[in-house]
Amino acid sequence: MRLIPISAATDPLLEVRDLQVRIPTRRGDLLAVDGVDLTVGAGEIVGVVGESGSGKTLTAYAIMGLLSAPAVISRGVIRFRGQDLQALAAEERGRMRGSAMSMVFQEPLTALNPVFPVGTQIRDVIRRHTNLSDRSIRGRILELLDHVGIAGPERVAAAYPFELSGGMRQRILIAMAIACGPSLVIADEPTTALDTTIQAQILELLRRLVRDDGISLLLISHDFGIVADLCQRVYVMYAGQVVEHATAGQLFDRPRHPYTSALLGCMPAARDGDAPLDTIEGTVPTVIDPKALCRFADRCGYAQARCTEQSPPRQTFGVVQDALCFRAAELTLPGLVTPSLTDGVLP
Amino acid sequence: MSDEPLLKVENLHVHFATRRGLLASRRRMGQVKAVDGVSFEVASGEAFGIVGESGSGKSTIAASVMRLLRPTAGRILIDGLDITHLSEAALRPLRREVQMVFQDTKSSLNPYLTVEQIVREPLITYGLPSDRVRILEILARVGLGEAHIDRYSNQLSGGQRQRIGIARAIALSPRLIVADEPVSALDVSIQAQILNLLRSLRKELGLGFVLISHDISVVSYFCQRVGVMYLGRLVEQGPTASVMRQPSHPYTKALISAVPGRFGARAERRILLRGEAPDPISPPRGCAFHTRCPVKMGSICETFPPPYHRTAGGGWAACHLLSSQSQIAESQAGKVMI
Ligand SMILES: Nc1ncnc2c1ncn2[C@@H]1O[C@H](COP(=O)(O)OP(=O)(O)OP(=O)(O)O)[C@@H](O)[C@H]1O
Ligand SMILES: Nc1ncnc2c1ncn2[C@@H]1O[C@H](COP(=O)(O)OP(=O)(O)OP(=O)(O)O)[C@@H](O)[C@H]1O
Ligand SMILES: [Mg+2]
Ligand SMILES: [Mg+2]
Repeated sequence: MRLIPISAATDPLLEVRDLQVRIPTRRGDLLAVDGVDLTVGAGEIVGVVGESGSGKTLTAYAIMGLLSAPAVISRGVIRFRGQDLQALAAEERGRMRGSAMSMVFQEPLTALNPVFPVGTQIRDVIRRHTNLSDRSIRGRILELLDHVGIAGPERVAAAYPFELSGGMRQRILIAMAIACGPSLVIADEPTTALDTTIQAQILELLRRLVRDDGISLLLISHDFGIVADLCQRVYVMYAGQVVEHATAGQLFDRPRHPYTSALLGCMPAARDGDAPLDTIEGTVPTVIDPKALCRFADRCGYAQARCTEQSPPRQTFGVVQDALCFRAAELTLPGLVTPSLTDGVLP
Repeated sequence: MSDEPLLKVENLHVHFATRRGLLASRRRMGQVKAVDGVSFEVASGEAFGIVGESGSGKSTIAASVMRLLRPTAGRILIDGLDITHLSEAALRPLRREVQMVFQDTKSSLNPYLTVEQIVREPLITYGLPSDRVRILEILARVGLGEAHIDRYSNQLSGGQRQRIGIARAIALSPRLIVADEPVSALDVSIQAQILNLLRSLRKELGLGFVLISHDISVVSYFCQRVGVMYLGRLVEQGPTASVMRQPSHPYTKALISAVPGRFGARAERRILLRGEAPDPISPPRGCAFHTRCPVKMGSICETFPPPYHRTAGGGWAACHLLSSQSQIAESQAGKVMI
């Protein structure tokens, strides 16, 4: 297996700085994404985890240029291969989308058009971005379907989405995403609706695309297990902010943000049935008028007076890890308690 | 009271008549053997978990236990009483004892009723006291109170809605709760709250549970025993800890090794199954798993249904690979307990 540098400090493929996404609502402007910094290096798999509503999908949409009104990018820079994406004309941006960077969406059923055979939908993507002849396109479609592990590509290309299982539809979406040789793929919860054994197949497919085709992957998930499995680096999002950034190993062994640690304690895999799980009381806040405070403070077991009086600093630890917390350096937070689940006699 | 288990499911079969494919003629009726010979028992204060691929028949088992549908064959006994063919009227007193919690609380809670009205409904049906004080008592059990009682379900968070679904289920003081994917739609922080709540109901009130989940870590946390479904049949059953640590059936092994993260096997030890579960309208002959089995032996697996074997952990598994010394009669398989 090829070794991949952990941090692409020099020239990241994708660089997001201070991204803010604003959504006007009746109650005021919602800051759904607020000051996100994020990079993806060439050949890297980078994860974004966080609870529902933390701003993961909107971050991805902003990067892809897919935000729809009323949501707008109100601050920040997005660079792809050093190029400022927001400075590009809409047309140029559209050309890039699907060829240089592409996305696998959260809901596989709604992402496919129900009234066209899936082969036709892949063809349309290829046509949009290349001048291939119909014949070469046909060959390319079959090659793609085969590449994403579909047996009987001819038959499947002619099938309508409803005739395919969830796992097959997800393979089709991945085929569409890689059809024009992108260097970056953003996968938003690519396996959420799938069975465990099918999920493992899809994750293996994504891993293979990164290893063999040199694609970089930004993987969005609420599942720490998936992220631990696939990602070299991980961003933990909470209420629109990145509260912690670390290697997957650091995240589980030595989390620096109380929110990360609290989430790990909630996981059933971390306990056996005799002990209750940790919980986090309260809910993720919706940020409308951002105040100078820590957004997690009211749910945090380690909060002090200053946490609700000032914005916390971002403290860094070594080359990769950082956390948005006053107490990140002084606290020793529990990581994932040794799981009891399957450390035994597996084949 | 007898020493009969709280719930006993004996050789349950549920077959649905369907048309074969969308364009097939009506004459060619197919049959889905959604559940094809399933047996297990649940004691008071015990949770039995059911895991398995989508479409393997888990929800159909739940619906049968709730008698929301009438089984094709086999028996369902509550406290030794055979409820398989009871009429709706005869079932009525039993419906108090067995309650269900659903995955999709959005659609299972009436949006036009307040929390108070939702929890009151079953109490009124059974002519039980249902004043506000009683409702608050029930809400307190699920960690809710005055602040929530007058709200409509759309004014609650996902976790709070799931608590209301549980409050409604425990309002009649049932003894068995059938929970079909009760935490699947929830974030891990909310999921932990709900699992702790269900756990306290089991431990403090001694409720029995049938818990269905596609999430192995949920089942292994909550359930003392687990059954693994594949295409309408249990392929393995036993104490959760031993099934998780030492799975015997090749499907169970693959399933557990596929759990992502550190909690499953490391990637290089993962058993990747080929393809997907076959269509239950035409299940494979012999062992239904043989089309995907990584350790298939040959024609024996394609021809003969696998025998049941006792496993080291005190459960059983149905596979030709297991040594013949441990073989047991099929009728015994449902009865092997811890
Ligand atoms: N069009 C919109 N109008 C108003 N609010 C929106 C809109 N789209 C998203 N939001 C809000 O922005 C926040 C972030 O949404 P986002 O979809 O990015 O969350 P997420 O982290 O992807 O969550 P999930 O895990 O549920 O997919 C949420 O509070 C959401 O309700
Ligand atoms: N009313 C019905 N009529 C015909 N077929 C049915 C009916 N209900 C279920 N089935 C079929 O029976 C099989 C088992 O379905 P069931 O819903 O019990 O699966 P499950 O294990 O709960 O799956 P999931 O994990 O997706 O919820 C499936 O093939 C399903 O299509
Ligand atoms: Mg999302
Ligand atoms: Mg089901």
